[in-house]
Amino acid sequence: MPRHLLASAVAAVVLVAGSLFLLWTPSPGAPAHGSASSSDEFEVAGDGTLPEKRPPLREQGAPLSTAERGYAIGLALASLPDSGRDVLDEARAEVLAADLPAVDLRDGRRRVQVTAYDYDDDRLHQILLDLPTGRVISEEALTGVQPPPSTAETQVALDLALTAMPAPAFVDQFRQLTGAPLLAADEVRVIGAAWAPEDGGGSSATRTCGTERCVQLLVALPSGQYLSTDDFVVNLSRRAVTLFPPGGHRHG
Amino acid sequence: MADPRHRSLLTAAACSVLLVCATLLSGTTTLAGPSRAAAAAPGASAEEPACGPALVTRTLSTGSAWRMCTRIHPFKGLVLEDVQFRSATGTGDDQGWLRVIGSLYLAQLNVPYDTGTDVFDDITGIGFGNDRLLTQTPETCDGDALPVEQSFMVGSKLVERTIPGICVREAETGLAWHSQEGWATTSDRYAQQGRALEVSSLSKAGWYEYQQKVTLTDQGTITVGLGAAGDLAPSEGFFRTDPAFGWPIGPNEDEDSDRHAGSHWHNAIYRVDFAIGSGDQQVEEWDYEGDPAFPTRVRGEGTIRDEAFIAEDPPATTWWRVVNPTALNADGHPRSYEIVNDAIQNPYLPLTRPPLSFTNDHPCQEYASSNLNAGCPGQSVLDYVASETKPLTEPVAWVSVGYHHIPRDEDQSPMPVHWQSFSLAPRDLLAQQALTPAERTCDNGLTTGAGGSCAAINVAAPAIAAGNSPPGAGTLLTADSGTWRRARELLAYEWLWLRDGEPILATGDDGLPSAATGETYRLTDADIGRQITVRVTASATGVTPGIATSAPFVAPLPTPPVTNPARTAPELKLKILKKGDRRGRPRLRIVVRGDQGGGAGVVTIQRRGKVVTAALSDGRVTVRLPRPGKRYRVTVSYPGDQWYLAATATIRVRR
Repeated sequence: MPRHLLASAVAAVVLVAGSLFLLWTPSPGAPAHGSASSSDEFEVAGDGTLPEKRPPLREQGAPLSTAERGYAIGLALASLPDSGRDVLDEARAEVLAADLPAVDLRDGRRRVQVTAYDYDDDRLHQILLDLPTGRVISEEALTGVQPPPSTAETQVALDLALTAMPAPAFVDQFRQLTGAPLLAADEVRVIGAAWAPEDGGGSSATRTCGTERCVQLLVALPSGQYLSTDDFVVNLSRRAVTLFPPGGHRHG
Repeated sequence: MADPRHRSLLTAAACSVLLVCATLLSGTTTLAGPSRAAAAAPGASAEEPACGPALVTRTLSTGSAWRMCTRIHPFKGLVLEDVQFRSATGTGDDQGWLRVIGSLYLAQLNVPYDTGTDVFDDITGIGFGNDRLLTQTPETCDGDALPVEQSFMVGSKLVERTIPGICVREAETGLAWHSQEGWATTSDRYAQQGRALEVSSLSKAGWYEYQQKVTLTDQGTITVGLGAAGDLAPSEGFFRTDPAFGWPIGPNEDEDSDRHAGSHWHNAIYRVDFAIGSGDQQVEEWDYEGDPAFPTRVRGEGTIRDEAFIAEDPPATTWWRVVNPTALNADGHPRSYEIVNDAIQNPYLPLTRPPLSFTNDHPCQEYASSNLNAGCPGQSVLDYVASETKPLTEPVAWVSVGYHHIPRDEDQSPMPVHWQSFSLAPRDLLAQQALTPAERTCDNGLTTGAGGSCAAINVAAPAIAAGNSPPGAGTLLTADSGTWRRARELLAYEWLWLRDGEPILATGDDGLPSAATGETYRLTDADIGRQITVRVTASATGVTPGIATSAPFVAPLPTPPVTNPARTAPELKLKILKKGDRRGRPRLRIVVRGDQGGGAGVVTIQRRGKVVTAALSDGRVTVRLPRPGKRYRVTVSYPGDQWYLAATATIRVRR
């Protein structure tokens, strides 16, 4: 599938009337308690854009506020090469995480470690930021390290699997169980997992996973029943779905 | 032995509230005061963790307390930082907050299925935070569900939510401690139920759902557990025909069918960065060796491990502790935490086989395997140990906690939680256990095992008995000492009598005020209607004194006549009847009557200093009067009854 089609497909699925469609909605409808929001769904923060102005900063060991995290992500993305591409092929790296660094790296200050994946060159970037000054403390780039996939990456992987030819087994299994074809990603629930073959293992099609960004999917019906998804892996870097031969080992 | 310095402080504190301290202190009486924790010099207390809304501070109902920073990391899930403990009864340097852990989290959860075809790294491959974190509900958390603010990028948009995501609750731990040295009686029994703080979160990583739970007891022990629930892996792909790789689940079918739910391991590896006090810490290993010629003889030896290491196939008797040689408890012993890992380990993987590994604290060494930190990319604990070049002075423990899940029929949905855990147990963190009762404070070192209480503990309050009834001024009160736990030394008692809570002062033979002391006290007019109590102080050499106060004794005021607040004034009529008696003596009719009819009781008739009474009948009575030699006056008084007020009337009697 062309990249621009993927991007539009994900955007349509992900953002519905300003509210995020959950890839996995834990305990739908479960009443929240405590002082938190009554909803457990993610929603777009404000207009969704990243704050450019430094927000009020919390104590150095406090969890990041949404504004702090957004501000840090903006600083991190600005420090990366302009050639960066995310999983939607937009002109920025794919942000995978932004959180407090190890205690020793905080130096008593409000600092954030941002991890992002650049699909342009399949490199992982890790940027340590000092929020009070907005300064980049360190930036490292490397290949071969694959953190858990982001929401968008998981969604793209599912879209690729749905349109793959030949189709993975879960597509037909869905039809058998529901009596209807699986046409859209929002008819199932999915969790993505970073995937790489064991050392020295894998077929020629999957051997690049690890250096490239690959994802396996755990797909379930809305009822919670899991479908069989152990017969394929999605290479996001190549936008390719690789089917394992029957009885083949996914690892090693 | 009790610290005499503490004793004098106690005495001064208690006396400050008494008027007669000078008198009391001139003798040998020692009064008990505040708890010893408040009286002793405080030790250096750790600074409060700087984490704003993520700071959790809880004082358990048994008195010990914990505080720490809690948050949910996108990949690691529940993370605790700057964990501090405060004992309920520590004294001296053992008082206040003691920092024990720098950070603690699950650094990898490796889940290989026994078939060898499927392996999941639930932390570095899936993650426990972001949308994998589950909302706490009253069903999952009967304590406080703390809000967790989450946000991440979806495409170009920043999304967020705040959910109750961390559960904090106080839990019972069962019998916390027990000692009964008096064989034939329970009077020497010391026992208490324990409490613990539980901090937990729930995450969904596919069909499995995990509770990350850290249990922090009132004794300072930290148990780190991972509870697995959710559902068994789907039959498609994970149920096999070969019984070697699973267990038959569900109704019996063809032996060759794919009905064996796949067995698998939950290989959890935790990262524990110790922070016992400040300064360098050490790892000490203790090994034991038996004597073949003398099998019950076992010799132990401790060794400081000054280099990073992997505990490869250690003997079951070997154990380790992280010790700070410069952080001393109140007894002068270096504080330490022992790693208690009774879990099994997956022996087939080099990473998970060692129960324990130690490295220095390097910020880039975040995960136990498939490390996601760019500073040590893709590395594992094995690499960390191999690459360590510096002496082991900032120990980080990598604790391997395995669970081989062989599914059962009972593990079907919703799967009962199965647990794997390890503990960090304080070893000499404090000079005595964290909840040492006053009765055992002197049971330290060479006095261990001695019977009797270290403190005067009252079991039944003193009682006051009156010498006569009803009591009044002049009545002699006698007090007993009450009942006290058996102490290490024979207790002596002092009595102090109180009026309305204040010491009763009297003028002594020397003309000076002196307190009413002793077992007896004679009531005075000033005591009538007031609350009289007696305060008994029990003391002995080497025993922390105790105080007990009796229930109040009140000598009642004279009983006033029963009055009816609604009484009214009666009409008291006097009339000399026209016809006297047979002897010509005048007859006086007395009538007491009002809105309630005739008055009851008696009337008093006075004449020339003489008083007689006559009982009313239906409010009237007729009496004979003396024959008057000359006129005289008769006064009749009615004292009132429950309906009528008193009344008086006078009449003249003529010749």
